Amino acid sequence: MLAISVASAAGAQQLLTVQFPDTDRTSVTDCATPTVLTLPDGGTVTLQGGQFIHYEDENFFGTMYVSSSAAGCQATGPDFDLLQRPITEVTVTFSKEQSAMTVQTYNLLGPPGMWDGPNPGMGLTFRDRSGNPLEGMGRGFPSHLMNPDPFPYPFPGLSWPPFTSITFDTSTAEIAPDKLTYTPTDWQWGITSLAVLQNPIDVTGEILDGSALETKKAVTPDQTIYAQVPLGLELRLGLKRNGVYISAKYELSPATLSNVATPTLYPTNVVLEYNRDKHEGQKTFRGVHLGTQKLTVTPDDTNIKPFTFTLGVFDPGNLGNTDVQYDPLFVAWGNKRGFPPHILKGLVRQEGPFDPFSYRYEPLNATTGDRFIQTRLSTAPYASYLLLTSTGIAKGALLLDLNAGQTAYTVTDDVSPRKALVLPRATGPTPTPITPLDVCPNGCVSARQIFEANDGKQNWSDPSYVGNVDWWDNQHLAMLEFTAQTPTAASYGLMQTMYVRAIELQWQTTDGKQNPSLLFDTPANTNIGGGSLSIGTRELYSAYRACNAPDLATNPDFADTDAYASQIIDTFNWYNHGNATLNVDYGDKAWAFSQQFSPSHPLSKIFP
Amino acid sequence: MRTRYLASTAILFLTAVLPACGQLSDAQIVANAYPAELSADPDAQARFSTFVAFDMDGNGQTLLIALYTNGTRAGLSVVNRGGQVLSHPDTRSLKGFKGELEIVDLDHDGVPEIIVRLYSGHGANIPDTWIYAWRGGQLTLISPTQRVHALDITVLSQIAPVDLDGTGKLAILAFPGVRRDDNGNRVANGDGMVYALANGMYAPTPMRFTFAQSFVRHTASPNPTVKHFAASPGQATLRIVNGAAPGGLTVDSARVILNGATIAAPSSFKPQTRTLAIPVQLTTDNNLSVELAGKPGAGIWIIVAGPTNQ
Repeated sequence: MLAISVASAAGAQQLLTVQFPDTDRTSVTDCATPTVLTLPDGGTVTLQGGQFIHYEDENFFGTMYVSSSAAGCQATGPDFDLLQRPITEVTVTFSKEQSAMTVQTYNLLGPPGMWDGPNPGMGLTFRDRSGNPLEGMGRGFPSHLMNPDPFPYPFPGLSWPPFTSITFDTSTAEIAPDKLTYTPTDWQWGITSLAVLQNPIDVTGEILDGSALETKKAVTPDQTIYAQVPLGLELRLGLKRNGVYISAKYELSPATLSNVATPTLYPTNVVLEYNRDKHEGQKTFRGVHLGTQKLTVTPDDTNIKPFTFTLGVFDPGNLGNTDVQYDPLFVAWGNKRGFPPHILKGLVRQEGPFDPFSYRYEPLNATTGDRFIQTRLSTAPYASYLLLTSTGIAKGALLLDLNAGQTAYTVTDDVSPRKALVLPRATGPTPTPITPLDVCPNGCVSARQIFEANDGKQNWSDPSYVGNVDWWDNQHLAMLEFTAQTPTAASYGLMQTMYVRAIELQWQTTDGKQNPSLLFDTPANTNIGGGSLSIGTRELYSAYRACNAPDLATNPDFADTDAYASQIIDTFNWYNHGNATLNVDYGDKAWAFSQQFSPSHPLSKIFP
Repeated sequence: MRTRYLASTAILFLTAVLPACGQLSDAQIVANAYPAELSADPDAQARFSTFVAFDMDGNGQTLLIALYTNGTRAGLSVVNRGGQVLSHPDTRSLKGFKGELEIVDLDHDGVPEIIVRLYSGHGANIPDTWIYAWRGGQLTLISPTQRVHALDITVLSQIAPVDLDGTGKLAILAFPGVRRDDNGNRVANGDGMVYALANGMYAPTPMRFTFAQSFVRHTASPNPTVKHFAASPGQATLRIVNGAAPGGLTVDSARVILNGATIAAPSSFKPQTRTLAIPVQLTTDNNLSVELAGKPGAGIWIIVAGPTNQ
């Protein structure tokens, strides 16, 4: 591989091999027609006097530019060689002046070269724009020798002026039967590689939220490049030379994550790489966990050494401009589970206004509501969080009941959320909120009492919830004659997680607690693994894995942004239930909401 | 008599026919048939099943219709008492935390259909609903779905089967679900839709409804039941369907008052009158009072369709 670094004022420059075209042709048929190739920096190089062919032997496999005397490329006569030996001549002309280059040649036929006698030779003449010779080189030409040293320009240690064209003149050896055993009737040779000095490489980065493109100038493979993106957003990177992106393989090394939940999406990724198996001029990544990850960018041009990046994902700060007080919760759990925080926020907004203390008692539901709890009164952990029942089942030993004995709820605990419900009172016609005194044994409150007093507001019996079951008939009302377990038969927090759901997902805080009130989305609860977001994101994790067959959790291979969005929308649609009108566009709407909450990252730089 | 069982009902029924000692119970048979694709999920956090038992083929052989979930995905199977899974349809998008089964003869052919309600365990606790028919010894999904990205999503949440036309073939009232308004209150989310059987599948009809509810005569002395509902003001049609439960008792008469105006009096309920369609004027907030006369358990449906959906 040829890659020579040359110092320049603009930064390290490299000699880059000119890409030769693939061809099926194996012999030279036309020496007269010039071939024009485009260089990476936008210039051209024109070769004439030979033809590109595919050639292979034990030393070479691939395309070379070949001139063959047998194919008619030769000329003889005193104008070319005083000894009238067969001559082939190739010219290489650049559209722009070149200050440095190397060229590698290969002798396909002919005798071995000898320094002490006649041998086939090659002379190179470097010319200026007007065709005037500037410098010359010559060499005896060994047969079938792939790597005599390449011809360099300028010769090391010398200072030569820029040139525009090169003339390659070759000739067979002078006939000398006493020294040579072949008959020099013809020969052919080729140019196997041509490397010219190219412009410096820049790296560009663009956060795909409308932010301006940023450029880091004149990067070199010997330096690690740091680039960063806010958690949840997309970053497009590219290596650029002279205005053209360099096709390359972008390869992430597995990352070691810290402070993530178990389970989490993408356990070895700080960023996702889209279309990861495709070599591209630019590559898009999405930040999914806080931290850093190594990226190796290997240009397809093997003359360019791989570049190494450290990709950093940082806290995005505010998610949009509204309801930002909850953003640290979304950032924390987005990072822990691998969901972009602003997309989590969009999902919660799709569910309704933000309410970290959202609470709803469910008396009727037999799968997660109080009719289910009644089947688990002696089962852990429900038994530990019971209210004393009218049948004498003891109050749960772990129930947080800080307002016990008071006349009003003043602090939040496991019982206090029931203050949102009312009861009819003998003291007046208007129902009033439940108080701490409304507990057994003296003030038992049944599910039926709560149902009858609050159904008008809570709509538990609405057909949208229960279909055509008439919960107001006596038979059904009688099914609610039990002490209401308002702490455990309820949903909590921003994501309205049913306590039963949380328990069956084996939720507990980092200190082992399972109190219902720890499902409220407060910073204190979040810090110990509580809050509905801990469960809601766990549900989303399962929905993500279940909604489509490929393992996109540990093997995230998305073609592009649309493919990623489609997966997240499927996840949301899997997560969502029971809203006929919204079922089909729930995920799309949540995604649309999330765009309102895209972090603005006003002061961040991709390349700090 | 139309067949209609909830899963819990069936379980109670089965306690009376427990198998002899040494045989597996139906619950054990159902548990043993837990679908492989659900147990193979490395993230499965739960293992839930419920079932109903019914002679689906009318040959004296009770079959077990079992609903399973692993906390996220769900599966439906029909298992015979030998433990053989006879049918396990591949409904890729069947999802939920827990669920319920109901069997109802929706198409009036003597073979009940299976209504699957699956709950997420969060939010408003309103189910996704799917309906399967038992045809040729296989379960066939007959409820509507819609392809959204890679999923075929059910468009049914909570439903109610109603015999709207007296044919015995039940239409499906599909309730729209709820959403939370800007104050966090749960409110109706648009109009409900009505689906009817067409070529063995439930398909949407042009009919929409702003309000639909069954009213049942209770054992206590008849008293008006009062409901409030929101609507767009204007002309509408209030339909009264005599008979609340499919195949259930009909009322002898009723008095229906909407916004203070009597729109159906006992005299409106002539013998053999099954449905009444009454033009009404809706306001933004509507007050509906219904008083029934008849045997306890008898009932009616009241369905209000807005001006453009009649």
